[in-house]
This record gives sequence, C-alpha cells and structure tokens, in this order.
Amino acid sequence: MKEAPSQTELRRLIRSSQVFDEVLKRSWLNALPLMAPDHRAELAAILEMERAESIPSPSGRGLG
Amino acid sequence: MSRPNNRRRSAVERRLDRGGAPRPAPAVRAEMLRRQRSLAERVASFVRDKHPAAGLTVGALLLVSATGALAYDVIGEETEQVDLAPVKPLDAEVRTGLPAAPGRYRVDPDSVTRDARGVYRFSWYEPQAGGPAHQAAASLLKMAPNDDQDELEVPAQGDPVLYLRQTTPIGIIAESAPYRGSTTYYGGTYVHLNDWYPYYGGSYSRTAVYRNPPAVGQSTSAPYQGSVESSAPRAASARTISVPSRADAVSGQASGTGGGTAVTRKSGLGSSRSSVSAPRSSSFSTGGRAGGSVGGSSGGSSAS
Repeated sequence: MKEAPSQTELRRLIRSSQVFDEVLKRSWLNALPLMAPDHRAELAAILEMERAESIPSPSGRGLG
Repeated sequence: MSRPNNRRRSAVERRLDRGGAPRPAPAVRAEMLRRQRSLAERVASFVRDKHPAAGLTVGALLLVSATGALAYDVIGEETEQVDLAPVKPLDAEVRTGLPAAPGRYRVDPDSVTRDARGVYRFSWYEPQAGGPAHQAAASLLKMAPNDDQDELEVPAQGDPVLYLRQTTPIGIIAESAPYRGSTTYYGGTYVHLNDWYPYYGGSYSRTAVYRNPPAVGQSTSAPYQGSVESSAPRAASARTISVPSRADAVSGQASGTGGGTAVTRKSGLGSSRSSVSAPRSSSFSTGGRAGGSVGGSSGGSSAS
C-alpha cells in the first residue's frame, strides 16, 4: 500500500469527492485525526478510484 | 411550489450528473462505497479502542454514515423540482451572531456559505476549547487567505475579516421560493448550488479585502475559483449571483448541504433537505439548508 497521505491531502481528497455525500464527508473528516496511517492510505486509495477508469484491487491492480 | 418527478435514480448518480467532472463508472462508484463501508468498520473499531474518549462517538457516526451512503445509493429516491427565488439585492446590510468582543475566533470550515445576495454564514467557536458553535451572518465581510486554520477576526471597528485556507470551500446557496422567511435562522430553505474557492486559480492578494465570486464560471457546474477583490464593499446590486429558476430536489425532509447532493448540516443553520441540480441552466449541485434572518427576498431579477 502506498505511503499514508497527510491529513491535509486527505481532507482535500474527501472534500473534492463527488461520490461521497456531505454527511459521509463530514464523518470521515471527523474521524481523520484518529485514524491510523494504514487507514488513511486505504481511504486515499478508495477516493482516488474516482479518477481511475477501472476498479483497482486493494493491492493496486485493476480488476476490469 | 414543487412538482413531483417520479424518476428514480440513486442519489450519487444524480450528483454525478451535475458534477461536470468526468464521472466514475457505476461499478467504480459502487465499489468505492462498498470499500469505504468496509474500512469504516475497521476504523470504528480502531478508534473505539485507541481513543476511548472521542472514538466511540466518532466511530459510531462514521459507521452509520458509511452504511447509510451505501444503502442510499442502492435504494434511490424520488426527486421533485423546486422553484428558486429570483435574486433581489439586499435592502439592508446583514450582521448577526458575530462575537461581541474583538478578537480572533476559530471557524468551522464546513460551515461557510454565501447566498446569492452576498450574505455569508458560518459557525464560529468561543476561544476556550469545547465551547458550543455559534452561527453568524454578515453581508459586509472582508476575506483573506490563511495558511493553517479558518478564523474570524472581529476588529474593534470596521467589518469582520474571514480568514480561510485555500482548501476551504464556501458553499454558494440560493433560496427556494416562495420564501418562507422568518426572523430566525430556521425560517427559510436554502439550496446549495456550487462551491467557491476564493484562493484557487490566478493570483490573489493576502490582504483583507472584500471579495466576490468571479463572474466567469458562474454559469457552469464547475466550482468557482478565484475572486474579484475590492478595497471597499461593492453596491448590493453588484454582489448578487444569478441562480437557475428551477432545480431538482430530493423530496422529503432531512438536514442538508454540501457541494453535492444529499444533504447534511454543513452550515449548522438548518435542516430542510433538498438535494438539487439545475436542469435549466447548466447543472448545479446542491444540498438544501434552512436559513435566513436576512432581509427578505422575493421577486426581483437576478444579476451577476
């Protein structure tokens, strides 16, 4: 998994998401300071899926 | 005021339609929501164990939101159209709820909005930790960029200054019609149209000046970027923003806001849900919110 992004970068990703609604964004933003680095990296990977044309696997390989 | 529309599309689909940006494939969207739900379970467990004081609540709310978002996307819901009130310039300046004592106060970055007439609303906190948030509204407000946090400065004299980070969005909101205003914040319904990032795109000064959203970009679904600066406040008629006459809204009541659709309590000012797009004039995203002790508005024409 990639290195955990900074909280600032992750906040930007969360706020710019079109898939997450505002309630969900707010919940993730609230949880952000308490999350482990691995969690932050995983959340960043999920949010970056919006820009991907295929569904990346958790290990980073596309599934289709 | 509204006309039911029986289309049944998921909330996320509607938001993506409005977004303007390349939309992820449905399979990607569904996978994102599924994975974030799975991650939320683990995060909730982790924060509950590692941060007993705050983690229990934060984790529980996260889990509920994550599960709800997944279900919300699957179930879909009916939409209806709402009329948006024509924008009328302010009859009188608005200044309510600001701190009484001069100083600097922390601002909730998810609470900042500007309505189509130029009234800013936001939540600010008392300097001591743990204090409740207060809602304020002001039409004469200077703005300046800040590097590390979002703050409100109340000078001994003159207009307050809102310091925002570059990444903090200002929700652009419009009122639905007919205006159901009262003298409280909870009297009217606001519809979120777009987000504004005053310190993105182009150059900007770091001094506290009056800022308006740029005219360019107001008719598109893309967030507004940059600002038009002035050392003195512009006339009320020059601060208004055009809004579409109608917009799609999610039926029902819930709290709302946001740069997207499904509604939350971004401003903390109210709770009337209406997730909105603008079928007539480009596509605007939205979330509704209640608001409005500001000078009445109905009728009139829009200006930009």
